[in-house]
Amino acid sequence: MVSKITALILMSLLFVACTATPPETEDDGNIGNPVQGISSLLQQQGTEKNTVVFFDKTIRKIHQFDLSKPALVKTLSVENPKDEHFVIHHDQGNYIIDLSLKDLTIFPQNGSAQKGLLPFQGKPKSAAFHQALGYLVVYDDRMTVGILKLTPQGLVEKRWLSGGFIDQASIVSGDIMSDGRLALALSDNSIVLVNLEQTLDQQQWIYTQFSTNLNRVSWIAPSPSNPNLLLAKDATSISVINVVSQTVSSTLDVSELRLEKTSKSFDPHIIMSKMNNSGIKDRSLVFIDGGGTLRNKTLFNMPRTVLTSYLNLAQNVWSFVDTNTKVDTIYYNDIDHSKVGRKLVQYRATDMLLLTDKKVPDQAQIQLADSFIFGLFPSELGYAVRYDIRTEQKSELKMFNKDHIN
Amino acid sequence: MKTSLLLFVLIFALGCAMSSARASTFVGNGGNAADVALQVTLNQIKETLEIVDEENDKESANLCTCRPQFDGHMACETLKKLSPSQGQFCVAFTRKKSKEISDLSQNAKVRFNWTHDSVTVQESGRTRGADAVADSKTFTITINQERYLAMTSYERIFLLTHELAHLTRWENRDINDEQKIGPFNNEDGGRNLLNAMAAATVMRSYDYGTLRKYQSTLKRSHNSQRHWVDVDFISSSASEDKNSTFFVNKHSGASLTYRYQFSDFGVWAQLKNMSGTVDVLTTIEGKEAVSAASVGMNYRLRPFEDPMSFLGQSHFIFAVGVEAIQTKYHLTDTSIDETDTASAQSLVAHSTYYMPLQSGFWLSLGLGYAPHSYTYETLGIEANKSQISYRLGVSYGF
Repeated sequence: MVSKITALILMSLLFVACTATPPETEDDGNIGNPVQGISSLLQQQGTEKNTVVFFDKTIRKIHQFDLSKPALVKTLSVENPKDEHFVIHHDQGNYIIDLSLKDLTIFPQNGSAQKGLLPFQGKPKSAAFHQALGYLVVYDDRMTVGILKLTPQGLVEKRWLSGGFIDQASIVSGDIMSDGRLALALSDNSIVLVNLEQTLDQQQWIYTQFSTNLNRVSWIAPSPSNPNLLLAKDATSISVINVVSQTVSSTLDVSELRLEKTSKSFDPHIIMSKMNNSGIKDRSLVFIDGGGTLRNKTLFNMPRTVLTSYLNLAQNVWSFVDTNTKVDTIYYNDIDHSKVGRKLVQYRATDMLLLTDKKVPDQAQIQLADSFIFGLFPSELGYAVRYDIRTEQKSELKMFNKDHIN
Repeated sequence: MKTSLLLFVLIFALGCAMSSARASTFVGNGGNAADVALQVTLNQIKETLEIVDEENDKESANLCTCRPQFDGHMACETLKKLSPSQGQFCVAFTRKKSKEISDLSQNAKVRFNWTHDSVTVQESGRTRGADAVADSKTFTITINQERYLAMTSYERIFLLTHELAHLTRWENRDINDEQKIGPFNNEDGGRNLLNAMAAATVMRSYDYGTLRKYQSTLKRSHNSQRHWVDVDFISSSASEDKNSTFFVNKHSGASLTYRYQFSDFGVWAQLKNMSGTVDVLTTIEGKEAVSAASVGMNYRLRPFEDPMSFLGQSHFIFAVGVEAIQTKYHLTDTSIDETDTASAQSLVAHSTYYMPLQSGFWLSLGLGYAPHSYTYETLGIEANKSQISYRLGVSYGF
């Protein structure tokens, strides 16, 4: 009897121990970056822009703001407004892409909206967008890959839908490289380089493929400054893959480290952490340097959890927003995964000189630019703020929903 | 609308001019402050003397004697001074005249004039002050209103019985204060006899309970008061405006009104504070505070005839005026906290039904109309719906 009770207590303790720390599950299946309700404040080249587009959850419409004034530029009605909507904004403001359940709509700057452009059946999960070449790849939660080629004005030239399998392997991760090829990591650890133009023309995957010695690859990202290099993460290591030589050129064993964040903004990088002797995390930033070499910089005693991370090697800045609250682990950037206790931290990338350490407003949905933060607050009337990081000057946008509430 | 307003102003001015006379006549509608008190006294005299008229000799034996309850009062002192023969004559006179005076008390031929001036009578070439005076030629009794209202019920019975008796005759002659009648054979024998008869009527009104019968009527508030102060709780509403989501269409608050009645026409001034909220979606709240000041004129309508009754005292006030409002709108949600102000002026109208309570207090129910139109420029909120208001109030007339 005593042994049974002891066994029961042990099983209970084991259960509690297991549920308190869920096992790590790395995000797979993301092509490009996860779609968001607020458009990025960074252009494809990494420079900031002063327009923002977001889907407002109160009035279920899309607002476009000019943050330099700041002022509301326009408000757009969407199809199926009750569904969740995600937006992508052209860097020069030529068009807005609206993604929602089973639907993709493009609102050109002038003219009427193009609706029902991709007849996928799922909810958009991620998208890769190469504005200069007009390629847009959308991946949904049903493993559907939609590919569009857009004119600079946002008109659809070509489109094609595919499932998430190429040959006999499924897509694990991917993104569009600077030369316009779509790099995909497959579940068989091979890398596929898709020729999007030919794929769209022939309505089938046209690609080259090479195998790697990676072990359960889970994430790849092309390097904007090194067009032939991919940063890749697998179960035990971080590697640099040269797509020309089709080899893994550099590898870092991270089997003793814990994955904290993967980021493709702007230069791809991975944040790993490890508990030090004091029981506090040491945080490691892993990235490809200008010479194509894998670099690892470790900051000690970093107890907080990173929500989003941004690295711009050309500007020599590493920025991240972290929080002191306990949150479920997600590996992609989501600054709003926690909306309390957030801080923006900026380092000079070369020597990790701390440049900025500022609180981020609670409760707001945040987008980061180089010099300012855009905060969209949970206001039904509509309230957003542009905070200048350096001067701390605040510009408010108020009541932009008021005239749309019936 | 302008024509109607002009017509109302003309009628109002005429009404005010007519009301400027110093004296007024009792016409039985309660229009004068003392009318109800007068009607009560006349009823008490009538009912008392009707019973006296039916008394037999035995029952009337103590008619002209004092009751202990009136010891020290004027009526009692009058009776105590009577000699036995004067007492017997008083009984006989009172019984003989009771029917006639009872009828006179309700006879429309008898006119009662109220005056605010001193009442004087000429006696033996001298002028003497009095509370009332009767003219048997014109069947008119003129009463000093202030003094009458200051009297107790039995003093009023005493006074009016005396004056009504002047309108009767004795041995084919008018009854004057300065004449000898029977055992009342001194120079002011007439006055002493009528005082004795009036005192006997007071005693009998006490005996038969008519003295106390109309206490509730006398305590009931009278609509003839000139000064009125109203405190109202107000609820107003306007139809919802689908084009203006944030329009506050329901308000509630309170008002303080002063009204002066020249006659059935009067003027009024009012201060009002109201507030209302509108909830939009889940977190948005629009809160509007309205402060108003208004002045205007009014007409009092008394549609029910009997001033002795509850309904007879109840009345309507129909008012028009000009109202200036200052409004403040406070718009909030979880992140927004904005305030804007506006102002407007417009013609307003309201009607109120007053129901008498006691001691000058009234309960009132009212209905109002205010077509204010204004815009909160900063917030971009329009308020251009006419408001209908409902009032429940307590008033004091004095």
